Amino acid sequence: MKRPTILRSSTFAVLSIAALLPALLGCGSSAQSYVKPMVDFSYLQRAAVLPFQNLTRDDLADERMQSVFLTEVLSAEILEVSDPRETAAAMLTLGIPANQGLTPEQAIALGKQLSVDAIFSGIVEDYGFARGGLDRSPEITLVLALTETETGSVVWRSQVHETGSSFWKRIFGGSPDDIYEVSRETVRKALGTLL
Amino acid sequence: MLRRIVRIPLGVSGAVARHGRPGNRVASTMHGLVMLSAGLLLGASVATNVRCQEPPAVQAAGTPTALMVFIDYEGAVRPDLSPTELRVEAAHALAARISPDGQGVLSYPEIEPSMRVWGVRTAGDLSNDLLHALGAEYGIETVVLSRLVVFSDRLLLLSRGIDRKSGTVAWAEIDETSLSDDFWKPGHLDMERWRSAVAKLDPIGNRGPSGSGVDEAPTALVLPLRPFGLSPHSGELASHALLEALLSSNRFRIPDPSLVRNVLRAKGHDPSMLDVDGRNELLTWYEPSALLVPDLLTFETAPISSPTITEFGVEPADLSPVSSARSPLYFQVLAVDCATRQVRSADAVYLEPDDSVGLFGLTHHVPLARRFEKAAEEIVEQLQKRGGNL
Repeated sequence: MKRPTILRSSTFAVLSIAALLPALLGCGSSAQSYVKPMVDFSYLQRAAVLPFQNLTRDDLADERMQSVFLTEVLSAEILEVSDPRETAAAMLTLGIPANQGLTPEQAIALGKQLSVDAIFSGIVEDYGFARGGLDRSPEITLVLALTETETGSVVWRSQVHETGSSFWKRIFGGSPDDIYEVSRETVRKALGTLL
Repeated sequence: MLRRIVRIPLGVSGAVARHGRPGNRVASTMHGLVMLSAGLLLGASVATNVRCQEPPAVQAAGTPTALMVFIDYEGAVRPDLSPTELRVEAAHALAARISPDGQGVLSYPEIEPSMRVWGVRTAGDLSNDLLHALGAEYGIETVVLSRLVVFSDRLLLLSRGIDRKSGTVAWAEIDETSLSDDFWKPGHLDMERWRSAVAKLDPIGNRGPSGSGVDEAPTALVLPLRPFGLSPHSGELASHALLEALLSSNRFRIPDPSLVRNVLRAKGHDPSMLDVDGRNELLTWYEPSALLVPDLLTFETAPISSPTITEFGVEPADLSPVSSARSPLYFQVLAVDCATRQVRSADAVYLEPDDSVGLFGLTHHVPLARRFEKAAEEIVEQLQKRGGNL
């Protein structure tokens, strides 16, 4: 009678470890998001993507994150996306600064100009490698928002902090993910709260 | 080396609003006007110069071809020989590769007056007016545009063949040759050495200069690539590799990107911020099935102020900015419907940093050209999996 009990315990332990290991070895991350209640997202068919704002010291962080975001949002096949070059032209026409958030009036005007139902915007808050130790682990903090263009109100917002390493990776000597993988994972985590 | 990212078919109809005039008719009409106004604006002296220029005889053997050679120097490379002489020698060496006996090929010195009249100073200045002038004055049928990029340790040749009448790219070719360590040593470089180095490069590959375009295929316009954090030459290389891969697939008809850019410029449109009017201009001229919008970004994140490898007493093999072309890169191509302005697909590859170290610590780099060609082939392969229907 004891033997099966012992087996069950060890099996449970092994399964528990097996289940937890990927999580323990995976990237460290945290995410917060807000979705406006009572919004019909099926109404949003076509979106524009604004140039991302860059609050980091890396001059290209915004361009990198916007490119990765564009690919990921298109891969979801949920929304049509207008050409970013036309978005840039429309912002210039309307006198909207590239490195600032939109006011509701600007969002409505841009929506009309581009014939889009919603506008994605992004802010790169952290982008680079964690300091200290021998381990150069990438760290990214990204804020994404979706503004619907009928009223100019924000209907979704998500902030994700992602690192390429984790406590267990450091303990077991696993190499951190490269910054591209972390960029992609950051965007996916953020979009995962919307799509 | 490459990591495939994603391919996104959105199931959008390929129908494009068909309106406006056919490109060729517009081109010829416009040409007449531009020729007339340019003649008036340039004044008598230039015009007389052109008229007095004895038109060199282009032999009937083979396709009458004009070879335009442009040289760009990457990084700190500054040869102590005359740039003009280097260009003439390079043009001679490359012309000999196209036609060993020199028959049927006009090169830089001969066609220089026409280039000057039409303001063609770089490879990006090619215009419909110049193509028409080359046909009218010299009977040229094919233009081979070769851009020689000179690095400290190699020469890179980006060539493409353009059908003069239609302005479409018939073929694109990239060739690369390495230079010896003492190539740029002061007093060591002479014209013979330069010529033999350039002569190793093949501008046309295994084909005739005229090549064959695909007339019935859907038209794809390749907009200028934006290189972020990279030298312009890295962008040119990536863009050229994309062109080569697209043409190799035989599924697209591609008007020369320089001509497309200059069509937009002539009407005051910026290709990097293409508005509705700019798109309408392209629809009128080319009726494109899609606009291909390429971007190239470096994912190298080391801050510029950080200690460099030289400060640790290690000399890197190459101090020129081309080393960034070996950094981790993100090569993305958006296919945009010109009429609806909607992004139809996004294809991208991530290029791992090319810093592989082989046995005994020896570094074996993949040739730069091959690195970008593989990435472009990967992207076009994704396009083709959709049946090539943009």
